[in-house]
Amino acid sequence: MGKKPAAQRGEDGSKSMDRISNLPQPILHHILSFLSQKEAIQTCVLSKSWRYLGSTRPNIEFCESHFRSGRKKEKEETFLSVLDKTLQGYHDQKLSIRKFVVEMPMVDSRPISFLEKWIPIVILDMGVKSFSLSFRLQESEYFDLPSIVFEAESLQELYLERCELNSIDNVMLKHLQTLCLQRVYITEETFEKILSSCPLIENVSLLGCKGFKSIKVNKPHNLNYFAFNDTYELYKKQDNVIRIEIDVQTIKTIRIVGCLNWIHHHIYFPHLSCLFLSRVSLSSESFGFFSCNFPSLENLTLHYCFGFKEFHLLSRSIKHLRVCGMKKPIKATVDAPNIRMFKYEGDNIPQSITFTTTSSEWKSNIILWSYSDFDYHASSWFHKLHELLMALSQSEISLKMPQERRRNQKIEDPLSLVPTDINNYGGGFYKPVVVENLSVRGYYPYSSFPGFLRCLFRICRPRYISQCLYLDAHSEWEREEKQLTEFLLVILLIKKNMRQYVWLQDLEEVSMEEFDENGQELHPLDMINVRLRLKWRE
Amino acid sequence: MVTTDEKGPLTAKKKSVIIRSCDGDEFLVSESAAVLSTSLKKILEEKEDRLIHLSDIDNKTLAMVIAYLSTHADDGLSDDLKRSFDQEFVSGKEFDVLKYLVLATDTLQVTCLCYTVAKKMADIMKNKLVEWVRREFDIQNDYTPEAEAEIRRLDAWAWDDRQLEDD
Repeated sequence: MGKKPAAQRGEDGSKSMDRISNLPQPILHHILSFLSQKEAIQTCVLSKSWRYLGSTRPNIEFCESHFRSGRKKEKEETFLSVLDKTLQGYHDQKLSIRKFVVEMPMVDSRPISFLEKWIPIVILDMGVKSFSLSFRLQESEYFDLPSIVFEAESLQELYLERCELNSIDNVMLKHLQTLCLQRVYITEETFEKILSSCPLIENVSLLGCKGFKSIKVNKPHNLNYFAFNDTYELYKKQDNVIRIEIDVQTIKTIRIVGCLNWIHHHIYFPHLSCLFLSRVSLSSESFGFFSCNFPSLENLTLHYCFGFKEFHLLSRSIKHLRVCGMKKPIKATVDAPNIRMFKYEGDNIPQSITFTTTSSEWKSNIILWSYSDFDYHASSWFHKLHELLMALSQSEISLKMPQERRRNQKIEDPLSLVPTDINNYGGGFYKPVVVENLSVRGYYPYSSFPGFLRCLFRICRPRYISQCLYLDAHSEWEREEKQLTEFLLVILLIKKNMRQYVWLQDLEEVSMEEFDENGQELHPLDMINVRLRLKWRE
Repeated sequence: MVTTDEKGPLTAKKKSVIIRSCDGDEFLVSESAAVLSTSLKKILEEKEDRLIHLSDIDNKTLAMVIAYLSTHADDGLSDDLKRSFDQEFVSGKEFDVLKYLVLATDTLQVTCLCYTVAKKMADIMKNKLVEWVRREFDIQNDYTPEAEAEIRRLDAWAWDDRQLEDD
């Protein structure tokens, strides 16, 4: 094993014993099922034994983007004729399709008759387990889905996008476990009917759907995942408040985005471990409710939530708490004996955070997106940051400031912005907080950067410093790299040039090291994986 | 539950079985690990034998499958750790090693590992030219040029943009 056997001729000299073709057909089909439709079809030319493997694999996955050449109209023609030919092939050979994934283009009414012909065959005769159908349609256009889809007893997963579910009489989805509806038009009655007729359903997602004013999730006995996303409607009229009621004891994960009225009161979720709320209106009382009624809650994320200025959270179970995008600085008291990770992301520094925990090993991750406050009130900004760091000083702190470069604005020297009294703030006795990782975007030009660091080092003692980089845009690469090198030099030179600063007497050593764990050799292009290690006097 | 020896049913969970590869090496495996393979589970339910002989799995492959089973039977490991173990498990393995693994996991019905390995094998073929796949796997092209051109013509849609790597 491990050696590459040379191709051998079989005894009859006709068949070659290569490294792959002699695998049993079901295994080859399994491997081919991970390729795209196009790649699977291409394997037909490998050799004669591969002639029909790719075109008989147990899954069909077509999307318009696979058809690249030709004009729009032409592409859609090809799409329909190739799909038709493919399905006909499976039908003629009585092959089964486990997974059916089709993203339909819609030019005129032909796809409708096409689907009316094929959906019943795929659903009823081909034993499909996973069915996914989506359409490229304009806003408020929906495909009227044949109700026969809901009669597929073998179906385990159903994904629909841009469909309209009307007049569904018979729901026989006895084995359905996952239902995902995206931009689907569905009424309350239909939704409830589907849920109550799927005894094994575990995962339900409603993303950007319309046609209802309230959603009740109270029937399924095995439901453990529920996701609701209403952000597609976010910037439209807000009188259309949707009520969501979830009353399923088995639920483990709830993700709600943009729902304006989440009815959760008087409901006890003994197994809920993950709660993700985004753009949801909450009150301070909601937190008391979480504390009492979700005894297994381990992950709580509050993402752009509103309606409260402060919260008090008491939870023995909570391990990961993430607060992100608060509009105004919040006040928070968290009593979480088993906390492992606290993450705060936002434009502003919280007004106050108090952590009570017996957890000995926990981390906190602070990401401050901009320094907008800093530009106007530098000294109070540093003061607030110090208070935040002090509140989290029992944890291993990581502080990240990926400040945006203000290219078109006048770049001011932060040194001039920082009043001299920062050194004397609170009598000049700031207790610097140990920060494990400090990641900064750096200032441009770098001549002003030491001024910023000077203040930062008054309040914290970072053990490592690295640079936040955004490297997605290729054109930016060279510039970023140059900046990074400058940035590192600035810090390395700090000791020499900044003797006048008080904190410098505590800084014993600055060294540069690679922090990529793959153990690759240091290379100029890998400067991204370099950080500074700072050793402070104890 | 198998209770063939004097220890009785209560300790049955901690009992071990011996699995012998086709080249004669024997592996001591906890029963809780062995039953993660649907085939081994069936054998253990049907027979009282504590020695299972696998006539078509070699010792190196078997050792890898058993390492996988033991890791996944370890209650002390979190699901995250198990997932990262799975990723490590297939990364960097040669195609031929994966081939024996996929055959073994298919025989033993270890569904999760079979899925991971098959996916890894597909990843190797992904975004590659037909010529690369033929060369890499020593596939003898037994089509005449005309026959191959004809197949390409029949499924012309699949060949309309070839910009894949050929290294």
